Amino acid sequence: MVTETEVAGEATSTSGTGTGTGTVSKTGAARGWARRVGRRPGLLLAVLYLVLVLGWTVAPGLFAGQDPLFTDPASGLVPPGAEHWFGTDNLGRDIYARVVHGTRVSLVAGLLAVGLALAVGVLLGTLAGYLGGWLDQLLMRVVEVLVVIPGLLLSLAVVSILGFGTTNVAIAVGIAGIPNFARVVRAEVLRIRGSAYVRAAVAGGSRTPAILRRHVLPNASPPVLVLAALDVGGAVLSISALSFLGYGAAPPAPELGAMVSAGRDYLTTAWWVTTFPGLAIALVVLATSRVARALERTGVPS
Amino acid sequence: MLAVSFAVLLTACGGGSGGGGGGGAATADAGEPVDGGTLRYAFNAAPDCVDSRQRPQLNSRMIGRQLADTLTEQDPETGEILPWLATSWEVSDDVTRFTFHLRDDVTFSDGAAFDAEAVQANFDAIIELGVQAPQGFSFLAGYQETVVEDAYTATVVFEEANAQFLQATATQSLVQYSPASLGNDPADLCLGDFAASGPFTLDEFTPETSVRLVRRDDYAWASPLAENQGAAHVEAVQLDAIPEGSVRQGALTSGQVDLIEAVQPATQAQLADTPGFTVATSALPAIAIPYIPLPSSPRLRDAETRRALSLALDRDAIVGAVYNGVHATATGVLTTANPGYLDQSDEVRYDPEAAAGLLDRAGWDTVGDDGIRRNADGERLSLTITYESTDPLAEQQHQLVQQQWAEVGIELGLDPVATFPDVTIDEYPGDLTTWSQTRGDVDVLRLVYSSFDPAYSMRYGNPDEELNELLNALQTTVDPEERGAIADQAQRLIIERGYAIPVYDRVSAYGFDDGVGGFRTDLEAKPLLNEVWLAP
Repeated sequence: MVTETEVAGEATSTSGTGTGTGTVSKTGAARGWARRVGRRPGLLLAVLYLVLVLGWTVAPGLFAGQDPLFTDPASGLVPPGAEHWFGTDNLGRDIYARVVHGTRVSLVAGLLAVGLALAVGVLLGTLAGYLGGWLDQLLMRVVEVLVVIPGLLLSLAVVSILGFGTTNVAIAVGIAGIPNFARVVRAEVLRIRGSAYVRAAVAGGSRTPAILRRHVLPNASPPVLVLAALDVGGAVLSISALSFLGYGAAPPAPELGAMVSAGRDYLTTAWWVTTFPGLAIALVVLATSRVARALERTGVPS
Repeated sequence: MLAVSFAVLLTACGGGSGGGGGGGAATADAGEPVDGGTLRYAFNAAPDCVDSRQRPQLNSRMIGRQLADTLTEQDPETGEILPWLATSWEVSDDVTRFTFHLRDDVTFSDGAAFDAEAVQANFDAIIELGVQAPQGFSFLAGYQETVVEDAYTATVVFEEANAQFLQATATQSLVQYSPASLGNDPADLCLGDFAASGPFTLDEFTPETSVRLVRRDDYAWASPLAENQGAAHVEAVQLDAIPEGSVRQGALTSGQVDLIEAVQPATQAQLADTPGFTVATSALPAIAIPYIPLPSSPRLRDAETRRALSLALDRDAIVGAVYNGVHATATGVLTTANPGYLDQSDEVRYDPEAAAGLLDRAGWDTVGDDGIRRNADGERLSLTITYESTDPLAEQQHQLVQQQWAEVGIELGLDPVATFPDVTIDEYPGDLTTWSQTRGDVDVLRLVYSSFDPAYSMRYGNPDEELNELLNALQTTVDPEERGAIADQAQRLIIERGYAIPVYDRVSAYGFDDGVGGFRTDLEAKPLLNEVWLAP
């Protein structure tokens, strides 16, 4: 219950910025998008929550006054209240501060993972789709082998090679995300390669890199960007799962998955220790998926 | 009428004290034992091997205790060695010859008789197993032979004095198997391919998952600790692994199991307060769980620095916040339950000012902008602990210590790893490590703080000759008073030179419902399952 009011309270202060960007933009797509957001309260909440989380990511100190690392055993396991909004864990650390900082770590790692998957996936997919031939065969067979292995399992294997740490976890999750992007990009590139304007450009003497840059990639990007937006939620979830298993940042650094893990013995005696980090993970994943689905329907505003 | 109100009063007292071991005993004595039924037991971690000679882990020893018997037993209260399969014994003056007089009515589950030749075959088999039986092999250091004097008298002969051997015969590292089983392949023995003389036999075993034990009906030679000298009360015991603490407790409170081990500190009080359930706790005889400064650490070469680490440790805060007051604050090198324990609370205390003074004297006298001390060369007093990230409570302890040490200017970095590198102790990574070792004898000091064993001795490769000499004397001194004095001296030396930074005394906790009677544990807090009965 407390979360709901908390989130809403924080969100009102920032909501001005959200609608502001919508009206300032003059393009029709963006205006349509703003209208759509207004008509759907679920989507509105998702956008507002993401704006709030973005605020946490940029300036965590502004939102959480207390030190997420400061332990005070004397005030351990304090229930949620005025002084500690989300209560404290058994070492007396403020859970709200740890959730704010932890969400930041998880979101940045999620973006890093998706960025890596996107960059490598687009490169492989474009090369395979446009050049075709034996290179296509080779790259796609490799990608298919990767697809066979479940994503989280592949991430686990990679992270146990790379070692512990948030960056390594993000890289591992990113690697597991490459095949999806490579396949989607390849399909798009195959479609575009046969189109009249690409053939015209080839006939006109343009060189391959220029064709890729000016004609193929811009036209292939919308579905890929939607996929990327959808993937952020999944990546945050995978990163939290790996962090829950203990592969994340070395303690005492706050990370949502590790917080859920550390508090699980207290589920029956101090529900707030796991509930708030768990809710934070769920909300980030739900909000990014909701926004991504809206993008999927309407197209990316540009 | 009077009796009823008296019983109510007793119950009220039991509840008020928070459900300790006494409460469990009271439940057990309240009713008459009943035979029959299957006891359902939840492991924290199920053993990967049921041959307790090959595994020093407590879960293997727990199963070993149910399947096999030992020559002697140890009194959990006094640490005294009691007769079991051996009815009496004599020790030669130079502590090299141990003559055991054996019971003549004991049989193994394959029908073979237990006699002096069986004892001989068992000790010879430990030597044969060598390092595959790590503890038993080290207990038998200097073993020469076992002489069969007559059918039920055997003399174990050592080349040199071996004062800890008698206690070792009470451990599951030296259990007695049927001679016919001793030649089996060690891997098969691990899977339970052996016959022994215990109150139960192995019915099914899936490594790291479950164990099923069935009662031996003709059992009539129970340990002197047991009130039930005959066959076990329950027909069978089904033991399953439930590694997650809260799930394990949920399985108990929802009636899916009758008895659980390792009740989590976080929820122990809750379970004790739940009507219909009892928590039985007992302190483990062991070294107090310490931080051990690694001899290879360049920043911890100096004894004053090491002692400062100990003085900067607020043990009460750790025990309170991390372990919910379930474990006890360490007051010495050994736990209070260990025979030969020496109270060192004058030294093992929290005194950050004294710690700062020691660090100043040790040359860490400049404090940098980051609050961390530096020496004359500008080197920061930054330490690292490498640990397996499987135990969330240990990890929380490290986090709290990190902050406590930071207050006196010591930086502690945490380095969690998936699996600890397989190296000898002198090559351990980092500056500190933690350790646990149970043993109902002061010889545990020799095992942990000497330099003899590459896998168990923390000063392996970096011997302290003076300490080694004392610990060796433990091996050769028989006179209890003299041996106690040597052990005291060794414990003082270990604290004085900062070889151990004791943190807490481990307390084991079992939870069970009111349908379980007769719950009793031995010195190592392993349950005696032949004593347990289930209310119909």
